[in-house]
Amino acid sequence: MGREAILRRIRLALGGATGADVAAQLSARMLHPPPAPVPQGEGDVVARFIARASANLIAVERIASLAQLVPAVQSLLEGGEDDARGISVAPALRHVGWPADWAINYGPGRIVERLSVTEAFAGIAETGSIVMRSAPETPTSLNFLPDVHVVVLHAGDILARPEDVWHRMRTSGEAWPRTVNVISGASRTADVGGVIVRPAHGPKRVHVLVVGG
Amino acid sequence: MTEGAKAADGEAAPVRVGLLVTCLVDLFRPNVGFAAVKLLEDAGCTVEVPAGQVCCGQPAFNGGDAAAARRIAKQVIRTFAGFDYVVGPSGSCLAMLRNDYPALLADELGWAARAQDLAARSHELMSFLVDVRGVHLRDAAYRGAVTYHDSCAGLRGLGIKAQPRQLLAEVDGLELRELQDAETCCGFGGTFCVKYPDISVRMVSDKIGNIDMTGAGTVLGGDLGCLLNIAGRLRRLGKTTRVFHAAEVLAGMADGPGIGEPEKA
Amino acid sequence: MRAVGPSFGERAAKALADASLQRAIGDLKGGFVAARARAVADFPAFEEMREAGRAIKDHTLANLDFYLERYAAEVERHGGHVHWASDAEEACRIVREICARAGARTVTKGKSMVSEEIGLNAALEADGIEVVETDAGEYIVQLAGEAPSHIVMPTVHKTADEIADLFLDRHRAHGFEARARDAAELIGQVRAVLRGKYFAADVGITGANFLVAENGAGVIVTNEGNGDLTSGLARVHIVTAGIEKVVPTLDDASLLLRLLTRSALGMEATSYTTYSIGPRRDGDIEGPEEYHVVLVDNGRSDMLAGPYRPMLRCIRCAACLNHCPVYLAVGGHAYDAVYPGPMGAVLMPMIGGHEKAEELPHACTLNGRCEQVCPVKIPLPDLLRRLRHDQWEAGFIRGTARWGIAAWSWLATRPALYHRLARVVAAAGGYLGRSRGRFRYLPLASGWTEGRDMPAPQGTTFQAAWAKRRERR
Repeated sequence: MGREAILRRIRLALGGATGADVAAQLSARMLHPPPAPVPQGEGDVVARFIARASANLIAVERIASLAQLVPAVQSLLEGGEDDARGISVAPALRHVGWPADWAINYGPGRIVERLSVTEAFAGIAETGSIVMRSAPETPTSLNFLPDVHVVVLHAGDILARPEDVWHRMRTSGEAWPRTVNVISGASRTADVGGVIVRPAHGPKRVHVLVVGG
Repeated sequence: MTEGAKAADGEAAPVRVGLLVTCLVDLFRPNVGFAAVKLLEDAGCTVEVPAGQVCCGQPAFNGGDAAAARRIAKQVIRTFAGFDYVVGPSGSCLAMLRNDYPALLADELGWAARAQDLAARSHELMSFLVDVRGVHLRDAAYRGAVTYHDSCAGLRGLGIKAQPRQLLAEVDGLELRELQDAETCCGFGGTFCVKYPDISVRMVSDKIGNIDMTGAGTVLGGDLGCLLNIAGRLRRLGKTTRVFHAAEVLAGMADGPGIGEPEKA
Repeated sequence: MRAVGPSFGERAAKALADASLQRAIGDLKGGFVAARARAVADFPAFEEMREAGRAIKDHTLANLDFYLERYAAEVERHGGHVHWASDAEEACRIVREICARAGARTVTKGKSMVSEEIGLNAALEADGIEVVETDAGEYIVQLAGEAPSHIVMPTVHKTADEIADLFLDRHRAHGFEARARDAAELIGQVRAVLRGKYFAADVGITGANFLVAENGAGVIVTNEGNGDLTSGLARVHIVTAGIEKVVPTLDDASLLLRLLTRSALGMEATSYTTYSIGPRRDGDIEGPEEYHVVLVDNGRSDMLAGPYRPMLRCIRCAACLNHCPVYLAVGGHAYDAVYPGPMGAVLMPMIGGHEKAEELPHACTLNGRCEQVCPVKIPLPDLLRRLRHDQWEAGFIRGTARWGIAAWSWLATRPALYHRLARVVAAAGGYLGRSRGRFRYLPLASGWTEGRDMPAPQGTTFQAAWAKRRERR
């Protein structure tokens, strides 16, 4: 069996299988990861998040509450092409008062996707990142397929660093999701002659709406 | 005369130094050896040159023959027994003694400790003068703009960076201009330069391009292998930039032909 | 035993003479090197972080069986399948079987160096499957029928003009008739072509920068977003990864990611960092139905036992390539290896045996810049030298290289004889060279004198002159 052969070679190389007390120590380390030298930010996490995200070409706008979501999306649509194709919205944001005549897709992303509105699980101030967690109400294909990706991020969900996000997920009591996407900038590539081109396969624009705070 | 030749304890203490000549200095440029002797004597050292030395063992060590490298290492250890210090004008050779001899002989009964002992007593010349003897130059002079190539082994193996620059700053009339990519390999690399001559020549040509950009009339370094490589390519390109080992300038012994230059008529 | 085809030296010579290639890789220094330097300068604790990264990797490797088993258990707990492949052949067979069971006709691929290592594309294509690389750089070299020349930027050897010519030729079938004017247009074509492929794919294959034992996550980093589209839209997602990719926790992955993105690209974070943990959950309205991980050994477990273990710390950032003066002179193709540059020169003999990569450990000046920039402190020059020692012992070093060193070493332990011979050589060389100070040509040293003069000795050896000086006193 491939597995047994490989593990046998590894154990031979290491001078034996992991003993029970070592295994217990290793398990304990996994539950409580030791502190590490990481960038220490100072000041308000929301302000830092906005500064870093903006530097990475993610547009950030603040709105007081979800009541302002529809108008914010409206202004992103204005001046665009024919609305008939409709936009996609994550089921989590179904009940924010979308106009009845908008043909909204509450499902997964489609091959042609003009604009999507999704809700983030968290934000990370260190790198200006948004953290998207897959769930029935937050399908992740909406993060990658649209030309314009609109992200709703509650100010209270902005944390200092990725470790804080993991801690929150670990202690949430919920099972690990299928996917966590950490988005820290616009889709880009430099594979042609070293020239940076945006976008590559992902959205042409990312627009984060920070709610409250 | 150098000022303040002090040993680590702050007293001007005479010390007995065994000079590690290095095979390249012995064969190609004895002047560097004599410059090293002068600098060491001016620093209050008595200098001896044990005849039992030939090579530090790098060609064997880097070429794959670890057994031969061990044999040569043991010979060097025997040859330099009893000296307070072992000092030589080469970062790569002294890095071999300090960093690689202990590892090479770690498993050999009776030799591991002797290798550690030798390593602790061994120093590249310029770092010895600055870090161990606290030397300051009084009479050195060299007119003109000079640039400096940091040889890889000395730089990365022994941390030699500030010491040559500190000494050169005390040379009257010398204007040191920093080389762009001073720390980039010149392409010598021991046998690499003859195994892969095309790549080696490209690398030394890049180095010379940077030397040209400084406008300096002279390039210095601390390792003769690098300097032979750089001088060889400069002459082939018909350039007149002069090449010396830094020790020659520091000792005031750079009034003769530079590396690759003919004897003056 | 000797490799057939051109040698490293011959390929290097060709690369040095290739003006277009030289232009292309010349940009690497201003690009990756400058970017990394800025990122390191911006983060004062970078050195501490390197040490912490090294420690995490060493700790994991020292307990690799525990962490691999925990990782596999977590993947399975979340509904995925873990397959263990001892070598390249087994790994390809496993992937082919998964694809066959899935009735796959089209497979999309995110960047996976280990998939190149095992020759996966060729194996799948032999089964009549269309394999589509989705990383723009990999897509381009695939279209050109070339191998990637750099592990992070596969197209570093190609200019924009060459790519425009390629697309003009090969993208007509997709409706692009005119030659693209710039990089933006070229990437726009790639985006358009691949969008349909993502939806058409039956299977999506990605690599993994890290495998997280705490929850079974596979982590990939991209700037393009292609990894997510590859893994998220197909019915089956396969992850191919070396066994050394496992790390204990998400926190460990986060630290190593900080080192990776700075070392590779000078960035604090890539645009996309994606953690995939198994197939779609109950209630999910999208996502793969099947999730498979193929763990690849292929020589790695053998490296654990001995002095080469530190090589397993490698996080594939390519900083060593970007800072190696040899790589910067000749580019990746001269190495003729899946992994070029310093890390490749160590890894290739380990995973393929000395015969496959004899020359690589010698294509190096041992200058040590690679070790300085390695985010996990792999002692690359020591490992390369050790490979030379292994080759010597196994008889791979032959001919002039061997007897030249043997002769020198023999002389080096006979100082009296050596000094007599050296005096003769110094005298002859000094005499013959005195008028010009150098030799334009030297028999037996054509490697040197092809491109350089040889400075002449000074007519005597130091030892002889010293003895004379002492006599006079």
